[in-house]
Amino acid sequence: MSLPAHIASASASPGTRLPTYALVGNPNCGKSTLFNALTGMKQKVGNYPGVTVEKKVGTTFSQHGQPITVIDLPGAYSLAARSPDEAVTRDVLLGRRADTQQPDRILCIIDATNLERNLYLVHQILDLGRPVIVVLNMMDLAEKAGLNIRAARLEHELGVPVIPCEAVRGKGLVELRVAMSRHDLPLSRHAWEVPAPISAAVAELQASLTRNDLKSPLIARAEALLLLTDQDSIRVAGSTPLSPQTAEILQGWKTKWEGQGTDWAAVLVNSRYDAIGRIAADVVLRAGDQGPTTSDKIDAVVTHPVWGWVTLGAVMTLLFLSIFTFAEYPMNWIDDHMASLGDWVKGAMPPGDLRDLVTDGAIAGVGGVIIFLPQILILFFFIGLLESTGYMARAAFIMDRLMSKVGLNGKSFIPLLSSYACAIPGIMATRTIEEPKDRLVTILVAPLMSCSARLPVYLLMIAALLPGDRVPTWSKVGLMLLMYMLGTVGAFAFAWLFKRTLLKGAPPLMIMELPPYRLPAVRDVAFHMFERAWIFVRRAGTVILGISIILWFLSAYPKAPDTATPTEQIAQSFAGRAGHLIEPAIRPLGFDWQIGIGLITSFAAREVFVSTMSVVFNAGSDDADTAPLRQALLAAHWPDGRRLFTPLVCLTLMVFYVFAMQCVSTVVVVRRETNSWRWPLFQIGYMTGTAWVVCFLVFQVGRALGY
Amino acid sequence: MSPEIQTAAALVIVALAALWLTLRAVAKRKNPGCGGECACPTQKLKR
Amino acid sequence: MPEPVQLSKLSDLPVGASATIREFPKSGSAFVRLREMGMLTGTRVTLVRTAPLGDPLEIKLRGYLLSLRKTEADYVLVEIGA
Repeated sequence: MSLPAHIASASASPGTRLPTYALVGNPNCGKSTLFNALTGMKQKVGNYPGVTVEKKVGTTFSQHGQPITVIDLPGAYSLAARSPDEAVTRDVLLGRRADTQQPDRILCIIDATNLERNLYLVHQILDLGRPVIVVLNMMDLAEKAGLNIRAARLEHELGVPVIPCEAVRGKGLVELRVAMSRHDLPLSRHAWEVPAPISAAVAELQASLTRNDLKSPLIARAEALLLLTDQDSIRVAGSTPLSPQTAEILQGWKTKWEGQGTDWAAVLVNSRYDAIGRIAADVVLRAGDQGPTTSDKIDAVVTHPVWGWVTLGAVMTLLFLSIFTFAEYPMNWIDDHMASLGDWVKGAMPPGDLRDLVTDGAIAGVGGVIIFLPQILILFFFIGLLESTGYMARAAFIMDRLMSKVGLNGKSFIPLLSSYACAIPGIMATRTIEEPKDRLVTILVAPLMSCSARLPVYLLMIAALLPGDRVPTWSKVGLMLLMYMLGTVGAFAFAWLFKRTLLKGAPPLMIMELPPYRLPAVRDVAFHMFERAWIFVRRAGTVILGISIILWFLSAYPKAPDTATPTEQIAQSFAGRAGHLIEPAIRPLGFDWQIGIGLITSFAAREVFVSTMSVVFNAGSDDADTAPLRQALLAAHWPDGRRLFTPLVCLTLMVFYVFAMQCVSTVVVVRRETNSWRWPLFQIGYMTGTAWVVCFLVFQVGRALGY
Repeated sequence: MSPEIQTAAALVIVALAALWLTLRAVAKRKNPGCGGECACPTQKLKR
Repeated sequence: MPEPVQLSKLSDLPVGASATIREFPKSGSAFVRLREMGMLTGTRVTLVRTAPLGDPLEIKLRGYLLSLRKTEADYVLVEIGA
């Protein structure tokens, strides 16, 4: 719908600036659909500095083709923030964030099927005294539910433009654009009586905020009202703190009311809902009870004591089936093309270090990460689909009880489950968890779930542990399941531990809306998937490329004489020397320096262990299924002639990979999601430390038992 | 390209990669969250 | 003399029953949020179901569905059938 850029810039008169809009609304009200419909591909996504809240800024065009900036603020139920997301919305609207310009106008999207609760946020926003446009979304669904919403009445009551709209179908967008282009948006005649015991406090706080915090009087009033409902106000990085004078006044009133037994927050919320109730009674005409809706009928199955589990199991099975079957084709394709790209470079360039750097460092390193992209895309798509249909909330609802046993809530379930395929989408999906500590705990334990990059290592070790062709399949499968269980138990045990020690907090709440089921907005889901995947690819292309080059250097230098075989080369490289260096530390686990090289090089990505082993033991093949590598491993010996890869050592190595944090991509993503190096470093420390301790126990106990 | 030039070029690239990764880690600390990847309002948007 | 009203905990409500909220805790960020989500004294709520493992609860109020744990619902007193 947007005009091409050249027309837009031609018609924009110089010197005039169109207002900046903020888009706000409750979660699940179609906000991101509207944002995508308005701005199309013209979006910039990033983080608010200092917090991991997604910042989306887009450009739409006025009816005359002039560009209008729209900031998509995180979904919020109230301006009295309860999560970092809501805190950012509040702070941007109040002009508390120095990094984001205070929006001139506010676009408030509300769900017509759920008018009263949605109007609560509108009511707070009208206090801000900025021009507001209300977008009445999901008019079709409201009609289906037997609700007749009289938009004109609502417009009259609120005194601001109200645009009925169906964002999914693009209905009402033209009218919205026209309204957004208006130079003279009316200000709301929003004058609600602040109840008596509170009004004196509001006036005093307003005066102090104007005087001491240099706020404009209108914002000061809104902020004063908010300070009274913000009980334990969430402060996030980047938000300007309150002046001490104002804080003192606030505390004074609170102490006074506490003494009198006045429930000030309740008084405020009640009087807002009273006002909203009067508006809703006038605006909404109910066509009587419609009986159970489709959504109710679906819920009767999906949250049923028996069928609920069946559904959950089926959805998860489908998820994993598609990850491990559909993803295989594109993965093979990427693998083949990366290999032929390497071959092409090998053919096009004369032999030398630069060629090796490009093929063995850059292409192999980045390729080894990009190969997981299909799985990551499918996961993102599925997670998006679950969110968009409303099933995500049901999965959280069903799993809450189990997750509460380790001190988390149901919202941690999907992120942890996704981590079985790859921890990266799992960690990025933790953004739906409101409580920062719970989110952090989930991020910290997610990489313990055995991801698909561990599979090649497990497969190789199982092949070396149970050689021969007549090994029953069940014993291989059993071993594999054991590893998955070990990781899962570890994740829950550490979640429990962290919630009790390091990240102690109140038991999380489970106050969560169960939105009605909706057909997925596939366009938005796909858009979101590519957005997330792009972040990952950009990381793979930059940080991971850099790290791959350095790891290549460590195994290529210092140079052995030209006559040396690759095995001799890696043995005397920095990586080889580091392997010798760490041998005393890993000897108690039954590992020698050659395995040590594998542990070091696979720090970038776990599956690199397999290819390193094939170089170290000169197997000439890095396919875990083929015999040469397995034979080479079985032939490897300690200097004193003992076998290196005894069954016990193979088992210990697998256990090491269950626990150790051997994935640069995850480290980088955790850095991004926690906004500091502290947590990824802690994660490396605790996971690798646990790996060492558990391996030590397994190996020493196993040896004592005579294995 | 002779192997010597290749070695020199490879070493330069490795050094650049190391330098870049270090600078990146340091620069991040000074200005958290506002590296190249985030949508800080551009000058145009800030206007 | 009006008969004293029998109040019960929201968490003790039988599945499918509707009730009116009569007493609501003053403090606690959970309860402020529940208020802001439209759960006030005088609001009609219906206990739609409990999760398969018995907790959390799913209630319907003001035309939408909300889940909350029993630990919170224990503090909300309701009047059945009012």
